[in-house]
Amino acid sequence: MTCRRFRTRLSAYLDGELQVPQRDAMRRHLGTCPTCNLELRRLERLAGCLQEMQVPEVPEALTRRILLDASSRMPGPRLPWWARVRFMVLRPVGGVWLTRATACALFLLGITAGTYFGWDACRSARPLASPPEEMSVESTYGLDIFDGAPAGSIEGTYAALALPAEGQQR
Amino acid sequence: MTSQEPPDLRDWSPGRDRDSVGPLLTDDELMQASGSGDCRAFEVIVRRHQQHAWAIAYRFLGCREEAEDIVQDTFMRVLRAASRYHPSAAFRTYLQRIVIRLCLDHAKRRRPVYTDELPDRADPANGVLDSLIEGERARGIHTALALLPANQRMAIVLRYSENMSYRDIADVMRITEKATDRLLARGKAALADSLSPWREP
Repeated sequence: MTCRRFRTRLSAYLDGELQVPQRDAMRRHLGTCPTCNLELRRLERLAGCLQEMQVPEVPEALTRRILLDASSRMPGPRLPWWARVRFMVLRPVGGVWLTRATACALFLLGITAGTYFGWDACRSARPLASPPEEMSVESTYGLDIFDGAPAGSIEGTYAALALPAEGQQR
Repeated sequence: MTSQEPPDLRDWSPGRDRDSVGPLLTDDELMQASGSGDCRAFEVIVRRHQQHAWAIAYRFLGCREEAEDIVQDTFMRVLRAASRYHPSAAFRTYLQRIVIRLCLDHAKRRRPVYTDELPDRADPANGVLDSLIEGERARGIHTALALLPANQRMAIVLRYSENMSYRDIADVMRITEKATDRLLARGKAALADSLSPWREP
């Protein structure tokens, strides 16, 4: 192998990438060639400079930007149903620490109270239809709606309309 | 201007430590989780590998802002591919290939910066501080690297900054080992000529 050929292999020799026979041949050549030795020193100093190159730490702002960008692209985790329910219940609403559990409880309480009071009102309501002899025009057609407790009813009105004319009291 | 804070990635598991799962999982498992929409898994991947990607991009480009763009683009590509990720090599190799490809493409698009000469060497006889000399040396190295062809520059960065073997460099750059040897030999010869004023006497 010529000196020029050895010189082209100096880089690989310095990096430890030569096979054993090639490495041994290079060592023998370096023992006799000052030019290649000079070039080897030059490459060693260059390698030292390159290995000393400093790299700053990753900017934290870059990490945040990457994660923010990623979160806007990801569809979100597929959680099991119980985890989704827990997440919906325990997560705070807005900036106030009013949990969704409290909001659900208040909603259910409102539904329960409304159901009870409505049922109670229906239970204590007057009979739907009055006997024909107690009917009057006002009560039949609900014309007394300005009273505190209207006596007429829709059922009574329909019943009055269905009766023959001589059966109605005026 | 207030910076927008990223959403708390622990929201869907209140009280759970962010790193309680990450160290136990491999990169491939984290990638599969990321592909399923797990932001925490992706965050672990980012924090585990960002310094490595940053080092390659910064040493290759020599510019902080450009390196940040490359790193961000790299991880967005990783995220987009997460749902169909099938490991045929180590994840680190996969990530390196993306960074390298983006750096090389960026170098092709970037308008070359021509310099007539490297920064003047500070004269020690004038009492210049060692740190100033060292700063000039670093800038000189960056400038000399920027003058190299992109492939040679990348091979040198991978060899001397990441301590990768010729085989690993060939693997991530998708070239042969012989081609790697040639790139390094030519690149170092050009650098040695450019940086000769900075060598120790």
